[in-house]
Amino acid sequence: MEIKRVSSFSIKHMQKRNSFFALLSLLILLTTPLFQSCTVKAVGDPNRPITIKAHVIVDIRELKQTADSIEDYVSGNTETI
Amino acid sequence: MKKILFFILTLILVTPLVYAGSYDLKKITPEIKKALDDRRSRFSQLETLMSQEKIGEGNKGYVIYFNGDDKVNEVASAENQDRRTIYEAILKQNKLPLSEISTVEKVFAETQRTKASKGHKIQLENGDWATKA
Repeated sequence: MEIKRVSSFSIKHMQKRNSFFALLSLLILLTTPLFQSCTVKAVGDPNRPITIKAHVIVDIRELKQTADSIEDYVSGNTETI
Repeated sequence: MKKILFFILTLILVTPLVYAGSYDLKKITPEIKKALDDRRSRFSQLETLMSQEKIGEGNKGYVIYFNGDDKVNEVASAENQDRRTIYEAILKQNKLPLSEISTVEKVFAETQRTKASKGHKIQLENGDWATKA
C-alpha cells in the first residue's frame, strides 16, 4: 500500500515536471526571434531623437554558400545552383 | 538538478540554430531563373568590359560603370537589375524585410570580389578601388 502511494506521487511529480519543461521550451522558442533583431529608441531631446538599431544575430554562412553557388552558375563553372 | 540545467543549456544553444541561416534561395521561380540565365549569358560580355576597365565590381554587390558608350551602360544596368532581382528574391523567400538587402549585397559583393578575374577592377570594403591580382 505504501509502495503504491509513493509510485502515484512520483508519476504526478513527473507529469508536473514535464509540463514545466514543455512550457519552458515553448517560451524559449517563441522569445528567441525577438532577440535576433531589435530596435531601441531613446528620446532625450524631442528635436534630436536617438535611434539605435541592434541586429544581434545574423547568420550569413548559408547566404555565403548561396552566393558562391549562384556566382559559380553565372560564370559557367557549374551547371546547377 | 543537473539534468534540468543540461536541458535548459541544450535548448538555449540549439534554438538559435533553428532560426539562424535563413538567407537561402529556396525556390527557383521563373523570374529568378530568367535573371540567372540572363546573367549567365551576359557573363563573357561583362568579362570583356571588365578587362577593358569600362566596368568594375563594386562593394555593394553591383557592377559600376566607369566609361564607355551607351551600350556599356546598358549592359551594366541590365546586370545590376538581374542582381537586384536575385537579392530581393532571397529576402522575399526568407520573409526578411527589404531593409536587410544591404546584408545580402555585402555578402554577394565579397563573393564577387573573390571570384573576380585577374586584372579586373574591384572595389574594396572601405571603398577604395584595386586591381585584382
